[in-house]
Amino acid sequence: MNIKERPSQDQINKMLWNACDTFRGAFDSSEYKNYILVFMFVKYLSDVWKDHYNEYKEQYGDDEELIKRKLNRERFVLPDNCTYDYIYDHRNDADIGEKIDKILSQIEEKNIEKLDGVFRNISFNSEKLGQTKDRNRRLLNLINDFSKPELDFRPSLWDGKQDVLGEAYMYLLEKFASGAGKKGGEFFTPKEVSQLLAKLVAPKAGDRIFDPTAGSASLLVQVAEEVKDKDGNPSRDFAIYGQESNGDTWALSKMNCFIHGMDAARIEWCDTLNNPQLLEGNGLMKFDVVVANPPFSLDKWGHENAEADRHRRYLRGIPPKSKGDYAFILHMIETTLPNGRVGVIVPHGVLFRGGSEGKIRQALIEENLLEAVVGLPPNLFFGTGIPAAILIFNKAKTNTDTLFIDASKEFDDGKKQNRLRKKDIKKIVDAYQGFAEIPKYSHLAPLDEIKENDFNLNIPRYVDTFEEEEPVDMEATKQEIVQLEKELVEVKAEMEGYLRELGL
Amino acid sequence: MRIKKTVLKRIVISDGIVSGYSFRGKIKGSLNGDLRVVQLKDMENDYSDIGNDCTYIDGSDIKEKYYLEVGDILFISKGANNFATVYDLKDGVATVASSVFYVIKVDTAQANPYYVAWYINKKRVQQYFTTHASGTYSLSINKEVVEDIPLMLPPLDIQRKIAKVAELAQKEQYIYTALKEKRNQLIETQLLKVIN
Repeated sequence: MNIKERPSQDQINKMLWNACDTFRGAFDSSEYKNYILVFMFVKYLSDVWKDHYNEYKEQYGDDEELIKRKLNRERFVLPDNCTYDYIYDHRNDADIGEKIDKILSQIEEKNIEKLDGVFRNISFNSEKLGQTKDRNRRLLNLINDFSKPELDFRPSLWDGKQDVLGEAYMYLLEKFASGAGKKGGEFFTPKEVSQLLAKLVAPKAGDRIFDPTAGSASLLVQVAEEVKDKDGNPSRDFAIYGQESNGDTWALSKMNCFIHGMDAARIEWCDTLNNPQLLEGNGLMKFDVVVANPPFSLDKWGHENAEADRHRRYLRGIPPKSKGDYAFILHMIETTLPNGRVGVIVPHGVLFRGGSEGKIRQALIEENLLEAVVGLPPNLFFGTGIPAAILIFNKAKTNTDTLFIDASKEFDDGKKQNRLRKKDIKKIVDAYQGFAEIPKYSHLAPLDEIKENDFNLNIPRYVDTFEEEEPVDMEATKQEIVQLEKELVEVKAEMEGYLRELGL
Repeated sequence: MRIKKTVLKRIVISDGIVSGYSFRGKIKGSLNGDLRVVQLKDMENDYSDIGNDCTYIDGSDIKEKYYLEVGDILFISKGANNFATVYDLKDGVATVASSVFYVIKVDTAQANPYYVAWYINKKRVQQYFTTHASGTYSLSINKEVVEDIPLMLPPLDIQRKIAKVAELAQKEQYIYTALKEKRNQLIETQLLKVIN
């Protein structure tokens, strides 16, 4: 089939979104999103598998044994009777939920290296999906929805345009995030913000990339896709790492990386601050690029363990108990290689709060690590309207200046949420790369200037976006006042006249 | 002085209370539009004036009988602000009102439209609306209720004078506001001059 006859990205997104109707109303989107995404993942595995099977069949004829041997060397293995076709053939069985569960555990078992634990928290045979009759009806609907030709994910149909599927997966994540209210921000960073951060940290071929609060790995994938070789061409030469504390979200991140063809991603499931899992030798593993959109001002982040931290991350000071922002920042700094870069999304308080946070900030600035502060427009994120900022740290800074960019005024005014447009992203990235003063937009502050401001990084102190008021013609204004006063007298007189006539 | 107690439908010409033009879908402005549409968004100064930001459309499909005439009362029948104003734009541009309004044409031998509009905006008639509005989600005043709006009608000459005083009083307010603004501007500029 020609690629032109294939449904567009929008159509696929729509089909997937409609498939969620099966679950809507029955239970909450925060629950059913896992079912939809897992199901999509299984369908993807199965379709890729089928494609390879057909390929080998064409090559080797009916020699099933040979085909099987060849298939076992693929990037993943689907055991017998674990394909989507098998599910489809048994869609009317009374124990279809149980069958799907069995398939999931078999897939996991056979691919323990890459998919261990991914389906741990999900059961298609759960009472959550309703009682047996209801459940089977819902599953039947779901199976039918995913067997529509538009949702045929076989790579051969796509001319290698694999990213369509990754896009669709991200689309669903984003839709779920925007519908999840306050919780949405927990697992997804808006696409445009991820893109911006990816371009700012500009990963190079060969880099190790890390996100300590990976969520569904949307940011990590975006940064990985931004990797360029020496000539500026996209490169697949990178290694990605992550850690995520929420088990369900962690599973989403594994699937997300897999669907994007980043099978080698190493994402650990555990609390980054209290139990970092990515270790090397005796200490924390180090990376070339570290990015994160950590939870804003996380309460109870593990202050009690900070003083005795065996990785000695809090030598510059211990962040306050109720605000974990600097704990994440310090973790990121400590996991960065001596020539590496850090890009982190933070609430504005991080720029100016005093106390121990002020001390940590001062230390980071005095060590000449902070390279840029970018103020973002309000209401970009899911679940919160507060404006955020991006901090860029560079361990191999060659000068002592810090660039401040005030990008808070340029965005697309959305109904529910604001968005950064392509040109807004470009303007920020250009300003950062140019590392220069742009009137009303960016300011290059030498260390002394920041010192004068008591290490307060509040952006208006550095970037003057004040618009001069139109000059007022005083003579004309005076004339107008005289004229108005004259009119007032006239109106009053006229009114008096009428009132008299009315006998008042 | 004889003051007549009556209701709105007795002082309008025949078919003098009609709904504004009911557009299908969103009203889309056209660059070369020649027909002005007055919508709720165009009402300014506490719903007493029509702003000059009206949408212009290509009006070839709309019959002339919907065109407004100077002296027509526009009454907002939907929503919580049921006020009346007189269409008074004398620029000769063909204009229609959207269906959020009732267009009321009074019989000028009996009543002065400016007076009637003024009276409708007074508390006693406004209270009548709150007790007679229908609809749960969005309130509206239906035609029967509009027809039965209670009115007190003094002789025409008195009506005219009352309307005139009301108009002048409003004008007075505008002048006060403008004066306040200009004074502020002047003082601010002078003070800033000291430090700049």
